[in-house]
Order: sequence, then C-alpha cells, then structure tokens
Amino acid sequence: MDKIKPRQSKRALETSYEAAQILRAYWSDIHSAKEMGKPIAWASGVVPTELLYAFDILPAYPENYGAVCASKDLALPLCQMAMSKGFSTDLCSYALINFGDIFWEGPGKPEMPFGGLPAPPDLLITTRIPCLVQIKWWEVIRERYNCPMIVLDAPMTDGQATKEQIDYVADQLKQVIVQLQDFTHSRFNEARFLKALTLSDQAGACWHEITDLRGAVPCPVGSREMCGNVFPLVAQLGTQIPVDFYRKLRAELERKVAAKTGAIPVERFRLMFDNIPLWYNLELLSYVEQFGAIFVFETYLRYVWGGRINMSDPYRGYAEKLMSDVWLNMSLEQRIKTLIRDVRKYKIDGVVFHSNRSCKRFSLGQYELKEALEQELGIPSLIIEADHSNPGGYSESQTKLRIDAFLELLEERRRC
Amino acid sequence: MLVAGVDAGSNTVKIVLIEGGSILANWISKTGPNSMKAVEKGLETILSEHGRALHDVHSIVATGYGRNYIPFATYQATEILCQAKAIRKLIPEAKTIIDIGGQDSKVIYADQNGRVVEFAMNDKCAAGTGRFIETLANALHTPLEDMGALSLKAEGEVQVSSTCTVFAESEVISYIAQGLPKPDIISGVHHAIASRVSAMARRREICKDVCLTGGVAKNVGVVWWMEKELGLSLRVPKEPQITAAIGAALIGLEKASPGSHDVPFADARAPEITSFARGREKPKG
Repeated sequence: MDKIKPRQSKRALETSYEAAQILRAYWSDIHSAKEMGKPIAWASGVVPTELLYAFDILPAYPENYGAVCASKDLALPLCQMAMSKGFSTDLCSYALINFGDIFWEGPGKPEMPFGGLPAPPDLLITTRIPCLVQIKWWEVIRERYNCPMIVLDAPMTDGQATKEQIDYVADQLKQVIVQLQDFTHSRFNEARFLKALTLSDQAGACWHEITDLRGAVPCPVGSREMCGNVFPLVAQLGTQIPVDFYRKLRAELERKVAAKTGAIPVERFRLMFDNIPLWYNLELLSYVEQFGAIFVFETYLRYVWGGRINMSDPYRGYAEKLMSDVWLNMSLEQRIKTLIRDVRKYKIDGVVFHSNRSCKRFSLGQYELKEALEQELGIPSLIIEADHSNPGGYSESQTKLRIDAFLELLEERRRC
Repeated sequence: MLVAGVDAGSNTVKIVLIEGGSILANWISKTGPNSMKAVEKGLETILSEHGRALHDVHSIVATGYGRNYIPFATYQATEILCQAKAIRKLIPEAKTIIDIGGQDSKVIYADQNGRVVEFAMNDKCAAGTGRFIETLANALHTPLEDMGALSLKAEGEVQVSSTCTVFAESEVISYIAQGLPKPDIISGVHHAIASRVSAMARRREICKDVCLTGGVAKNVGVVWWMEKELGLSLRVPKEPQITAAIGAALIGLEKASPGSHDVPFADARAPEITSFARGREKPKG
C-alpha cells in the first residue's frame, strides 16, 4: 500500500479551531457559575439539556469528561483507581473514569483537565435511552454526593416510536419539569423552553446538513476533526452557541464542496466508522488518510447527537426526537436498514466496526451488520476490538495491522 | 531483477531473495530484541553468501509486525496480503489460508482470483499461536522442534481445556505431576491449539483446499489435529515459514512492473509436504 503524503497536521476547516475555544469557554463558565452558587447538574448523554438551560441549570457531562480524560491519557490511572474500589473491569470505562475521579484516595491523582468536573453536583439527571448502566452509575454518584436525581424513562423503539411511546415520553418530560420546578423553587418558563427547543432543532438541522455535505466527493472534512467539532452538540443544545458554530461550519463546508476541495489530496477510498471512537487514539481515524482513505461518515456522530424536533407539537416532537434516530435505541433490523441506506448515500467503499468493550449496546449486532453489508451490497468491512476510553486492552500494532490489511483488500478489489 | 521479501515476525525473521522468477535463497533467524538489526544482519549474510550487496537489490518489501521499522524497505505490506500473493502462486487451488505464527493466527479467505475478500485474526491472547506451544514445550522440558514427532507416539489423549496459556501451563504441569505420558500431553496441547484455530476458520465457509502456513505448520502434531478438526487434508507448502516473505518479494516484482498482477514465478508449484502428517493413526485412547 503506497503512502500518498505524510498525514496532515492542520485542520481542513478554519471553523474547527473555534471548537476548542467553545470548549474552554464552556468549562470556564461552568466553574464560574459554580463559584457564584448557580446550580450545576451532572447530566448523562441524551438527556433534555434544553430543559436544564430553560431552568438556568448548567449541565456538566461525566461521560464527555471521561472522553476528555481519555484524550489526555489519564484514563488508565483513573480506571485502575475505580477498580481498586471494587468496580468491575467490565464496567463502561466512562463510568470507571468518573468513579476513579470521585472516589480517588491517596496521592498521585492526575491533574484533572479543565479544573475537573464541578463538584459536588447540585442535581443529577439521567435517562435509560443510551444504556441502563447510566442509571446505576448515577445512583452511585447520588450515594457519593447525596444529591437529588431525576430519571427520564424511555423505551427502546422498534423502528419508529409508536404513538403510545411518544405519549409516554412526553408525559415523562412533564414530570421532569415538575421535578425541576421543585428543585429550583421556580415556575417553569414555557416560552423559554420552546425557544431552547427551537435553537436545539436549528442546531440539529444544521448538523444533518453538515453530515450530508461530508457526503460530497471529495469529502471536505475527515472524522478526526469532526469528533472535535461535536462538543457543542453534546453539551450546549438549547443555547445559541451550537447554532452559530454549526452555521459557520456549514457555510465553510458549502464553499469547500462547491470548490471540490477535499480534506486529503487524493481521495481513493471512502470509509464509515461505527461506534464511539477511541478517544485516547483519535489519530487512528486520520491514520488511513496517508493511504488515500478517509472516514466520511460515523454512526456515532450522526445517530447519537443532534436530531430534528417537530416544533408544531413540541412536547411530543421532542419526545420523539429523544427516542428516534438514536443508534443505541434502534433495533437490529433498523440498524441494518439504516446502515445500508447510508453506505449507499455516502458512497462508502468499506466500513470499520469498532467492537467496543465498554459499550455492548452499541456493539451488539455488528457481525450481523457486517454480513448484511456483504450480502446486500458486496461492501467489505472490518471489525476492530478496542474500548472507547480505556486503553488497557488496546494493541496499536495489531489494530493497525488489521486496518492496513483492510486497505490492501480494498486496493486489490479495485485493481482486479 | 533481484528483489527481497522480508518478514519481520514477532519470533523469527524470514528473508527471501527472488531473482529471475525463482527463489535464489532464503534465511530464517530469531528476531531477538531488535527486528531491524536482525533483518539487517540477515540481509547482509544472505546477500554476501550469493556474492551480492544491498545495492544490487531492486526493491525490499517488508511485512510482519516489524514491517514499519525497517528503514531500508522500499515498500510495506501486511502478512495477510503477502500470504495471499504467495499461496496464489504456490498452491493456486487453495482459497483459504490458515497462518499460525508466533504472535497470532490468521485465516485468510481469497476469491477465485486469489484476492483477499476477508480475514480473521486471533491476536488477543497467546492461545492459538506458536507462543502457546513454545510455552508448553518449556513446561514439558521438550525442545520445540521435537514436539511434533513426540506427539506421534501418543497412545492416549489428555485434554488441555484452559483457553489461557498461563493456566494451560499449570494444567500441563499437573498432568506431568500425575505421571501422564509426555506424548499424550503434547498431543493434547496440539489438539487445543488446533481446535481454537479451526473454530476461527469455520466462522466463514472454507474451501476444500486449505493451506496451512507459518512456523507452526512444521509441527506434524498440529497439522494432524487441524486436519481432524476441519475434516479435510491440509496443503502445506514446502517451507511454510517463509511464504509471507515470498509474497512480499512477489509484491516487489509487481511494483517493478506496474499493471502486472501475475508476475512470473518459476517455483510456482514447489512440492508440498502435505502428506507428512497423514497416514498416521489417530492416537489411541
């Protein structure tokens, strides 16, 4: 396999540099808010962030912070500390990192990035949508800090959410509102919430358009850079920040697509990445670029974050959004259908499945997906075994061997 | 044109020189702590033995785990591609290749044209690799190269059930303590590795001509059990340890003649040693 040129170190999009500023500002704001006595909620992924902002509660994200710690090479000591406290090595490494942080005892604690999660949390909020681990994890945090906890229950959908499921989750949302009123001792400002939902929908729409713009040939921006651009969507939905950021990103992408400017000099293979990336080794996503391959689509970026809200029926529209279009909440049949559609739509030559030790809910069914791809589209795929945040069982040379061999396989297919 | 294929494996370095469409020489040595130095020494030796120098070599293609650490290599390729390239020439009928190396085992599935369509690897644990046999040979105080022949003398069979090499070692030590015959224990060790690798191979449909490569293919006991597990006769190349290096050298030839996917290779039908494991009676018991 011939190398085309050394991997690019600079970003493909100027706007991407702003993501780091947004991240720093977020952390600075949340620590200032904590100092000023404003309530901070520790929130899990896919919770109604927009409601928190409507109640002037700032969300902090232990999962996202786990990814940050992993990217700073701090995961291992934190996971080991959690295991020394009796937590299983099989537990999600996001949770282990958080437990290592909050239960750390003795000297040698790593300097936590961005000044650490603002502790203690004033409120905990979580849901069953991504996984059940979160509920148990949040219960441990509740025990540690003795603070109130809100759970938004939601069922797994089989394709589209049914009317009953939507009604149920819409009702759950109303119960969360009541609990937030009790917690803040303030009245719910519906106009403010609807404004937050509108902003959320605008950001979600923009994100979908960005995903589609990356479907252009050549692809204007690769996966590694986009993993750095997802933060405002994770943490700030319901505010103006992601709307402004993604509109700017979209505009830059439109210009790149119009000019047919690709992220890599010669685009030979278009790849899809399934599952959460290896936060301690995002370089793996751009590693393929020196061989003329680029990840143009990721199930994690498209089907975990963002999403549209039907604003003509906002509570039910929001309930539907929370349940639908979320990979973790899809049945296997729906995952197969979605994957095949996207492989066609984004002109994918090969798929890399990350069998993620930490996230079995994301990883289950990957062998079936692989088989379906081969049988229905003749598209080859590769399964790599790793963990999203714990580098403990990860082998760089063995993973790269698989990726190299997969790229050779794609090359051979094209030659013959 | 002289080309070199270098397989810098985890355990051994294999070098093959191809000239005029046939193998000029090959070299196998222990990798040691520095794969680059082992390759350098091997290349110097093998070239000087044939009155050549490094500058006479048109291209050097490196494969194996150390492939990216050979600074003088012209190209790099994975063992998966190299094995497929070599077996396509050596045993064209074989569309499934099982390679058991020192650090991992691989199954490569090729299509009618010999191109790789899928591969499976066991690289998470030493069970199913040459390291497994090496560790247990140590526990049995038996030279590695004697393991195959000794297992042919097995009269009974013991089961090595642990999937972990470390625990399998304890299991073997307990069998030694019980006074079980060494050949029976060794046969059990071979059965263990064969059943693991065969299970991996069966994840996908395998063709009737299956080729076994890698250093472990030299072990008749493993070949016997692999054949039994898979229910077919294996095709083992004349020198199964150097096939990846042959494939690497063939890639060098392909690169030298762009557009050609079928470079001439006169040793294409080198005799196989397939029958050496067959004809042996199943161990009694």
